[in-house]
Amino acid sequence: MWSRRLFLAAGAASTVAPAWAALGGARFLAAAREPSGDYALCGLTDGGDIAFRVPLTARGHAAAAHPTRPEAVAFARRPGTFALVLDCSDGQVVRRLAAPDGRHFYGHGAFLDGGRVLATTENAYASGAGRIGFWDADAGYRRIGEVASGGIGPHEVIRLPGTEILAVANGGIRTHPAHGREKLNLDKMRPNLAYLDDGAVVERIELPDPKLSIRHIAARADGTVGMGLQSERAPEETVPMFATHRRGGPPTVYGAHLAPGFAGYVGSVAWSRDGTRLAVTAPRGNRAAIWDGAEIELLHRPDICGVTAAGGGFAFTDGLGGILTERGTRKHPCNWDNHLVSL
Amino acid sequence: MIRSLALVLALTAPAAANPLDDHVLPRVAAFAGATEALAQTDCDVDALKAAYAPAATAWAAMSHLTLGPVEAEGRGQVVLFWPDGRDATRRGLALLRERGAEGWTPEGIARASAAARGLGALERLIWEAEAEPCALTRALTRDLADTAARIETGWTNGFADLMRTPGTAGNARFLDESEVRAAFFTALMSGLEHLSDRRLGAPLGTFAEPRPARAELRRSGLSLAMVVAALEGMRELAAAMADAPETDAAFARALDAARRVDTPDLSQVAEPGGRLRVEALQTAVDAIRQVADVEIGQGLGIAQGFNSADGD
Repeated sequence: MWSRRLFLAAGAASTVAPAWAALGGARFLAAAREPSGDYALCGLTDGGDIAFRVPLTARGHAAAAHPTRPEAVAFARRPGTFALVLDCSDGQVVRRLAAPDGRHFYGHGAFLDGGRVLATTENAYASGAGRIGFWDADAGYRRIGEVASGGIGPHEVIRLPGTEILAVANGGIRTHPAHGREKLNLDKMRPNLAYLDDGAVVERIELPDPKLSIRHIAARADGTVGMGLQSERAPEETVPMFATHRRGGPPTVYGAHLAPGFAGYVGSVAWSRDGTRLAVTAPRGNRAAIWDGAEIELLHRPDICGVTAAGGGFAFTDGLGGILTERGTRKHPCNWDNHLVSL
Repeated sequence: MIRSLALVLALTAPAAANPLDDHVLPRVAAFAGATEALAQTDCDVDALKAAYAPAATAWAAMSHLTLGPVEAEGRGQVVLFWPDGRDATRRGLALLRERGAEGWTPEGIARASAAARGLGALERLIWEAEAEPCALTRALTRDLADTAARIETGWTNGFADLMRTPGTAGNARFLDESEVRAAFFTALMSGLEHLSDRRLGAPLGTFAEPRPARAELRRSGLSLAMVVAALEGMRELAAAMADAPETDAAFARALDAARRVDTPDLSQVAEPGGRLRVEALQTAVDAIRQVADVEIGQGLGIAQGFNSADGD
């Protein structure tokens, strides 16, 4: 069983580790489909150029970047049962993580303890219980334990900056691999945002509307978590599209007027580095919204989905191959997959 | 000699059609003009009805252009809040009436719900309330014309230039020419889908439960005219996008099918014989989508919805 003993030194890296920067100046990771139909994980520079590419055997979803080694864990798309640990300096597959029997991955993971432990979101699909699996990254990614995620359908897991606390977006939607991606419990879904400390749920909050699936989250330096929401109501219903929460307080929801234009669906969320702005992307609405706490600025791009902090603002990727940064735009002959990850 | 003949041919050959100059800009100008004419009309019910119809059909002929200025600030909904399954138009209009004349300033109208503004609310006032109160009718026709003017300005003063200059610095909306073509193609395909699923599908309902009261602008008897105008507008767009004879023929067949529909408010969906003709029209519209998808879409190499269809 994984325990606190693993969390002795938590060095939160705020700048790119030299090992990553050495790879052609890579600052971000994104999975892509290439014109050949093959899939790859790419490193991108802050100007939007491709710094490196590592082939993937299947469509990726998100990646988790090791904080010190040039190692990325690429998760297969839900309900994938494998994740690849890639050495991005030479493209080699270092390890292939197989979900334990009766589990599948949801597509996200996060490193803890300065990169010594990898946490993954998983579905124990016989019962539908959400699990967080732990893997020892210093011992060949050996499985070292798992705990309850605090809900159904844990999708994204993140580490709160400067802590070893995990925040988990329990999307609330039950699925079973025998039924593909079919949603099995929409009538009684209850998503939540759960915080795990030392493997135990220490706080859990729900939004007023249980039909808003909490799937993607991002945390800023003070621990405030931004949540991107996916509505299971009619797409034209004006329901909140994002929310924030800081431990000990109630959640606050925002952006109901955005919902029709978003088609009720947020694909990704990120804070700016200084924490003053939150960006949410709406690939079904072909737009992103940047919120500064008062005003919302809209950015229109087809199939825009990936977003992460970059420079003083954000970088975005879209399904047409576009990369938008404050330094300009690039277009590559590929389809960028859902998420853009900062190194 | 041969060279000079070639030169003459080159000079006299018509310039390649382009969707901006041959479809978008004339259509948004026509909508702005028709709504301005409606706004200039006094509270004479017959005169208002006469001016309302061209404004409504001018909208139908461009309502598929949801990109850019129409999408901004939800203007499409402000022009026509429809479908309106919960009758928000009635409630919104009632609230606006209650507010009284001081609420009917341009600012007051702009703060009202989209359902209380635009063509839907005006249809209720003109056809069901003798255009009374006149001051409210005039405020709403003015508001509609102002919205149409903002849509036109948005196109002529910015968005058209973005579409003409893909890939230039500062143009994050269109990174290359293929994205401009894809944007028009998406407008065409989703416009056809809206025509089939909503403009026709809403009143059709099911055979057991037809929904004639759900027809678009049925009170003014413009439901069929909206369908025809939409077909004509999208046919123009398709022709400006590509040399697509099969698509054009499919549009012609749909317009023929529309001519065989004889109730302007599509109320024939409620009786079996008449219903068949509306269903035949819907089938003809669906056929356009299939033909255009192959004839226009495959040439564009458009990868649709890699992320939006992913569902995570």
